[in-house]
This record gives sequence, C-alpha cells and structure tokens, in this order.
Amino acid sequence: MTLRFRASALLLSAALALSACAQGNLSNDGAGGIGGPGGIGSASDPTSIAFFNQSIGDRVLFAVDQSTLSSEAQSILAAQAQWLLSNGEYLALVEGHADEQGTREYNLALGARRASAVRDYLVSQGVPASRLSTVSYGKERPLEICSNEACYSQNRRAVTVVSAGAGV
Amino acid sequence: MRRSLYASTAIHAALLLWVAIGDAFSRDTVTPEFQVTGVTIMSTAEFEAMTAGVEPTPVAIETAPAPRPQPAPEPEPEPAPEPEPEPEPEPPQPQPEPEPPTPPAEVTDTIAPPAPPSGAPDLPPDDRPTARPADRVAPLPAPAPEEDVEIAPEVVQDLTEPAPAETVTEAEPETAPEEATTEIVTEAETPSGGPLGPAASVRPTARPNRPDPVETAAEAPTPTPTPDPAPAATPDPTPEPAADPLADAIASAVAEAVSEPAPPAQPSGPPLSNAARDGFRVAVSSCWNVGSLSTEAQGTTVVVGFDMDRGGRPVEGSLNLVSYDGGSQSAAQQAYEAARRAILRCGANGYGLPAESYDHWRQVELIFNPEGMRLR
Amino acid sequence: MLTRRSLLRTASALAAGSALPGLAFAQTGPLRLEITEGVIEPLPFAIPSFIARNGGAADAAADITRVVAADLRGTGLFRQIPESSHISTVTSFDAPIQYNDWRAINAQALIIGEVEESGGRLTVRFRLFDVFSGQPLGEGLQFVGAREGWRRMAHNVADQVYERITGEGGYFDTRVVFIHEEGPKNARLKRIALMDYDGANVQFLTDSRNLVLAPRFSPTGDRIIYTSYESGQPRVYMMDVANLTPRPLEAISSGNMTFSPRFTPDGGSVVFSMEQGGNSDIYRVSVSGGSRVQLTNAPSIETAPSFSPDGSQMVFESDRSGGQQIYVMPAGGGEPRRISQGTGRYGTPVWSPRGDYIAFTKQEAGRFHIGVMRTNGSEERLLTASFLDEGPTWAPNGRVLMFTRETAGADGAPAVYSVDISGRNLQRVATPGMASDPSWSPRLS
Repeated sequence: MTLRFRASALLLSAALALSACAQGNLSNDGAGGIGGPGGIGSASDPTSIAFFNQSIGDRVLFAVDQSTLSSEAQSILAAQAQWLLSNGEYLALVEGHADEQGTREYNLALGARRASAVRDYLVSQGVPASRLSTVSYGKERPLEICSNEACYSQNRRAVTVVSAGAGV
Repeated sequence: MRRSLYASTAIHAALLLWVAIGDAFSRDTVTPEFQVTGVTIMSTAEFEAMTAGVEPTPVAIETAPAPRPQPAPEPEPEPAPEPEPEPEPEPPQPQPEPEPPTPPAEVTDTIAPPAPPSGAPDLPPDDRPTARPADRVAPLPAPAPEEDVEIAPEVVQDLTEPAPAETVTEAEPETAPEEATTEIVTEAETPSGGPLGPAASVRPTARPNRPDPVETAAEAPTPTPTPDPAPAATPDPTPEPAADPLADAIASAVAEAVSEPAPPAQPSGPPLSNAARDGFRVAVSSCWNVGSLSTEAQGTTVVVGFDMDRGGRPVEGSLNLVSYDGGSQSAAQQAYEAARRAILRCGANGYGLPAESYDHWRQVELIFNPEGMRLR
Repeated sequence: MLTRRSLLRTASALAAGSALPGLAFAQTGPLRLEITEGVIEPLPFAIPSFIARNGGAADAAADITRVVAADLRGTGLFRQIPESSHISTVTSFDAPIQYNDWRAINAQALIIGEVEESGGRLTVRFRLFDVFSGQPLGEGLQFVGAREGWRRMAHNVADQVYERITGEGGYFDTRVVFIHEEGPKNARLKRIALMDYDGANVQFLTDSRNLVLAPRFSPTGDRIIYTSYESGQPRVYMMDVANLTPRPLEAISSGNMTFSPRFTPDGGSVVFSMEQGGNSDIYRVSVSGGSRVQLTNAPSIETAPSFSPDGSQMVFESDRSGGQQIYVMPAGGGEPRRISQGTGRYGTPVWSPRGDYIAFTKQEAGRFHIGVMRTNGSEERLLTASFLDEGPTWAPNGRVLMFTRETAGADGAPAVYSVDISGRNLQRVATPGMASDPSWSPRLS
C-alpha cells in the first residue's frame, strides 16, 4: 500500500516513515486503488516493484515552475522505460506534484504538466501509452514539509507509481 | 387586537417582502436559520400606536422620534392583498432535515482578533516618522495620546480671536487629538514617501487601547492653539487676502466665470478673518467621518446649508441638503447624514466664531468634498 | 491628495453652478466653505440590550444583541460603546429617546430593540437613531421567525443598520463554504464545510475520504461546485445544498483532469479548466448538460476563470507570457487582454459582484499578497502580505474579501481571514480548525 514512499521511508526517520505511510494510503485512495493488493517484492528481485522504486528510482525532480526534464531526470526515465518494457505486466501512474509556493489551481495545472512530460518521455522510449496514466496533486501532497528550498526541491516531482495491472 | 392596529401599509410591505424573499428562505433546508419568515415594515407612528393605548408623550423636540416626512414610500393600495387577514404571512416551509449537531455557539460566533502573522520576522525598531497602522485616519497625524489625556471629539479651539502665530499653550485641561495616521497603511505597503521598508510589516495584534471617550464629550471648550498657525489675521480691509489657496483658486476661477461684480449689500460687522474661516473648517473636518460611507457616497460631494445661532451653534432643525454631485440620491443621503453628524457634533458647544461678525456666518453652506479622502 | 487642478475644477463648478449665492468673500448670502479633509474612523454606536417582552425571550434578546453588536464591530467601521458607559437605561421600546444622554457619551448611532417569544417563535423589532441629529434613520423593522433562526434575525438587524449608515449592502446574513482541514501537513484530510459568515453553525458537506478543493457557491447560494478526487482524477462536481448529493458536472473521458470551476453570473453555466496532455484550457458547459465550449486555446496554463457580474467578460490567469498573469476577454470568445502590469506573478482573479474591482493573489519576492485592481488593471492596491495568502472571495457587497492564509514550516496551517478592500480590518475568521478556500455566498435574504 505504500509503494512509492517505501524508498524514502527507508532513508528517513521512523517518524517520517509513519507520515509517509499515511500519505501513501491517502494517495492510493485518491488514485483509485492503484497499487493493488499484491506485495512489492524484494529489492533484490529486479522484476519487483521494490527494485523499481529503489534501484531505478521512481521519481524525477523539477526546477521552480518548470516541467522540462533535466538530463539526470532523462536518464532515470530511460531506465524506468527499460524496466517497464521488460516487465510488461505492470501499469504506471505518473503523479505530478508542485511545491507550496504557488496558488492551488495553478499548481494543479503545473503538476499535470510535469506528469505529462514524464509520460511523454516514457512513450518516446517505447512504453505503450495504454499502460500509462497521469494524475496531478498540485501542492496537496507534499513529501517534505519544511518551508524552504531544501524541501521545495523534493516536492517539485513526478513519481512513477507502478502496479501489477495488465492481464488482471 | 394588535392585528387591528397594524396599518395596512405594513401588511403590504410584509407581503411584498415575502414575495421577494420568501422563496429564498424556502429554498434551503440545511439550517434552521432559514426559518425567518417575514419582515414587517412599521413606521414609528405604528409602533407608538401599538403600545397598549398609551401614547408616548412628546416631551421635547428631540425626544419624540417623528418619522421623517417622506413622499409616501409605502406601497399603494393593491386590491388583492388588502383583505388578507394574516398580518405575518409565512412562506411554505419545508421541514428542516435532521441536522448534524451544530457546534457550540461560543466557539463559532465571533470573529477572532487578528493573529500576528506568523513567520513574519520581527521588525527592527523604527524611528522614522512615517504613517503607521492606526484606527483613525485624519488630516494631520497625531501621536497616540498619553495614557491619561482625554480624547476630545475635536481639537478644541477658540476662534473668537485671530490666532497669533505663536500662542503660549495653556497647560490646563489638555485634550489630545485621537491617534491618527494620514493614510491607511495596509499590511502590504510601506507608507507613501517613506523609504522601502522590510519585506514584512507586522500589524498590531490588537487595537491600541484608548481612553474611553465618555467623559470628554460634555467638556467645555478649552483654548488651545490652532493647529495651523495662520498669519496674524488682523481685520483686513481687502475682502480676500491672498493667503488662502482655496480662496485664491476660487477667486481666479470666479474671475473667469463671472463678469458681474459682487452684489453690493452690506452686512454689518467686520468680515470673517481667514483664521476664523480656517478654524471653522478644521473644526468641522475633525468630526467629518467618511470612513463608514459606501464607496459611492465617498465619491459624492454634498452641500449642506444651515443657520447658526449667535453662540456659533448650528440650529438643529435648519440643516438641509442643498445640492449634491457625483453620486446617486441615496449615496447623497448617506453623505449628507455624515456631514450632518459632523456639523452637529462638533458644533454642539459652538464653533467659537466672532460674535461681531454674526451677519457673515448667520447662514452657512458647507461643501463636503470627499475626493481627497477616498482610499486614503 | 487634492491637487490644484481639482481645486480649480471645484471652484469653477461652484462659480458656474450656483450663480454666486455667496462665495467665501461675498458679503451676502450664506458663508460658503469647502471641507475637503475629514477623518476615517469607526463610528461609535450604542446598543442597549434588547428588551425581552416576556420571560421566554430573555435569552434570545441577549443573544441577538450580542450578535448584532459583533456584526457591526467586525466591520471595523463601527465601535461599540460599552453598556457600562450608558447614561440612559432603555426600559421600553417605545420610550422617547433621551438624545442628550447618548450625545454625552458620543454615541452617534443608537440601536433600540425588543424581542418577544410566543409558541417557539420570535418577534424581533428594532429602530435606529442618528443621535446628533435627533432623528430616526429609516423606519422601524420587525422580523418574525422560528426561535432557532435567531441568528439570522440578528444578522438581518445588523444588515439593516449597516445599510442605513453606510449606504452599502450588508453582508451579515450570508454563509461561507470552505475546506475544513485536519491532520499533518503531508497527510491532510479535507472536507467541504459550510458556516455562517461569522463562523457559526458549521456543518460538513462531505466526509474526508476524497480529497476536495476550492468549493464555490452558485449565484443564488443553493448549489456548490468543487473539485474532488472521488474518481481518482481531480474532477468537477456539483452539489445541491439542500440534499448534498454530489454529481459530476459532466461525463468526461478518463484521463482528463477538470478543476477550478466557477458559476456564470446567471447560474446556468459553469466555467472550469480541463487538462489534456498536460495543457490546461478554459471551457464552459451548461449545468443542465450539453456540449462544452472551449473558451481559451493556448499551449500555456489557463485557469481560475471568473465572470464580470453582467456576464459580458471573463477574467482568468494564464502563464502564456512566461509567468502567471491576469487576462480579460469577452465572454463569447475573443482576444484576451493582459491587465496585470506590475512585477511578480498574479493569479486567482475574481471579479467583484459590484463589477468595479478584480481581486487577485500576487506573488512577489517570496511573499504572497491579496490585492485589488480596477478591471482594466489600474489602481492596483495590495491589501495583505504574508508567507502565503491566496484565493480571495468577495462579500456580496463588494467591499470585503475573505481569503486563505497559510503559515510556514512543518507545522504550517491554513486559516481563513477577512480584510476590507481599503486594506483595513484584517481579521481571522473563527473556524473550528484549519480552514482554506473560502467562498462567500450571496445574501440569503
């Protein structure tokens, strides 16, 4: 249930991990239950969701107000695309997020732009569009909660949430 | 029996209002608040008639509330609703749905005082004499009064004598003008003219404490210096010294606009000095509160005419709206009422105009032009 | 403030208009003086406790007096003179007014009222007096209603007083729909809630299962439109206040986000943003269904639409110039015209119900402001400044704004504030917890 936050939870304190779990639950509600009942497997299994989240990296970050992909982001997404191509039974939902330094509705639109940029890149790498969807959370689901650039930079993100879906 | 005492006009008004608002009330069922069912307009006379047969005795001119003469604002007779026997028609009310419990009233029924903006840095002490947030905006900035200085409704002054440029202040019962700034300072801005301030502007968390004005209103005029030292205005043979920019401007405008000479009538007594006129103007200004007026009324200039008694007090019943400009009639009415309050309140103890010039100020017309006060 | 030019203009008008009945120097006729300087200060008023005509009305009389006084004080335009300072005691609603007693304590307005209870119904009467002129201001009024409706009757009394003194429409008998928030910053739960404008009578319209954002009232106050994640995607829903049943605004193919809805002034249509392939544009659709009409068509973000009260124009924000700015376009389509001209970013424009101003959020140098400007972008005036202010909504009289203010940091929390369009009287609105995204209803009566 807490797929996309597991990676960061491992790195953070226990307290933060708790809130991240809560957030993951909420997010899954919002995303209509994507994530499914299955486990995420072991990070040592290269076909597992855990491997995708931790070893490949499930997220890319953006500059203020931007939705263009940095070269670092592009290499992460290229690896994501490779993984999706070799694990064809998974679907991916790309969540777009913004930091809190913006108005609510603009940030929703900005998050959609970011999610769309990631989706387009994955498609350009050969992932079938039918396996990809997007959603924007704007500034509604911050990952980090401080009010300075250290946190903002982590919140301006697009997260690829993979789930076992195809063939179900 | 009360019913029989209701004027039919009241019933009409209720019906009209019911038609106008009943629908709105019946449409919503979410709160019990929606059960206000009717509004009856009653005149003062009707209210008086309702009081168990006892007529209130009119004691003095200002104690018996008389309805202002109005050109029959009540709806004219309509045949259909006339026989309607129900004085308080109720719109059909849907039953209110079972409600989620409403929270206790004491936590929800007030607007809390502003919380200090958190995250705003404390401002460094700032000694610059710039405008700052205050509850009052006035022509001249006034510091917050010392704690035990009474606040006068106006800066009391004596206008009978031309004010010399330097008058020694009598130390006696001091009044201070209420704390005021010369402009509204919002949270977002630096006072005009000042250097750029810090990015944050911290508002006071509560209104400044002020002495209760109760004791001051009945106070007798106390001589204090006029705020603007006027040139020693000894009675001047020339009707208009060129010192007054307004009069100056008016004079030149009039010279353009009019060719015929002023009428030759000769009222007795010396004309009013500039200082006396300025003092009069300042005195009225200090009571002219435009803050509670609508934005439209704040854009409406009204001319108010009235008579004065020999003591320099406005004659209460003589006030009238002479003309207005720049707004609708209802805006003019609000503007007139504010002007009327100013004239009567600050003139309650007399404006201190020189008695020997009474002929020159027996009748007054004041032009209240709020143009410069808008969004100050 | 008064320029020499305007002085001259005034003088010319005087000279031309009045055939010289006597200017300052004329020797006959009235003394004529122009007053151009006044004061702006709260008007002192006295409101003796309303008289209870019978025992059953005692509580209601006290409560109603309290709410009327709080309404007036809360505007910042009025200052209440405490009852302990009163000289006169009002024992009868119809007793002659002792004006001199009220003048002596500098009460400029006096409100007298009485309450009668009969069979669970209340009758509330009041009269308003202009103390210094010794006259009633308007006629006496009477409200009759169920006992539970006492707050609305009190608000109606206050609305009347406010209107009679200011000439501006009152805004006390109104409600606000907003988002109630709970939980830590990274796991917020949000619910749509409704309250009286002063924070009383809070009710929840949704539970916290689905993330909900930015509810807005219909022009008649009977419907609410908002964005919900109920389907997994942000999508616009509409709800009747009477039955609280949400329904999607229209069937939209999956994958498209719709958000930022607002009713048109006639209540018959909704404008909103829809995102397709990362690009957001503004559309309009009838509330009764039918096809949607695309109003903007640009590769940039177009959102936060709001109509002028006459329905002829639409204001919205767009980042087509590189950053958020405010644009106005004809309602039926046409070339948008940028009206925000200052530095910084401008968003969430909302047209005043009076049509004279547009309120907005401005972001500049790391701070947020609520501001107002004329509909052509002139006379910009910032009213607030904080770490994060956003999303103004107008009181129905176009003189007061509410907005969201959020504090910074890990414990940052949103609250609803109100401010006068002059920038005065900034206040926090009492809400039961964290609150955001207020939308002001029209007058209920």
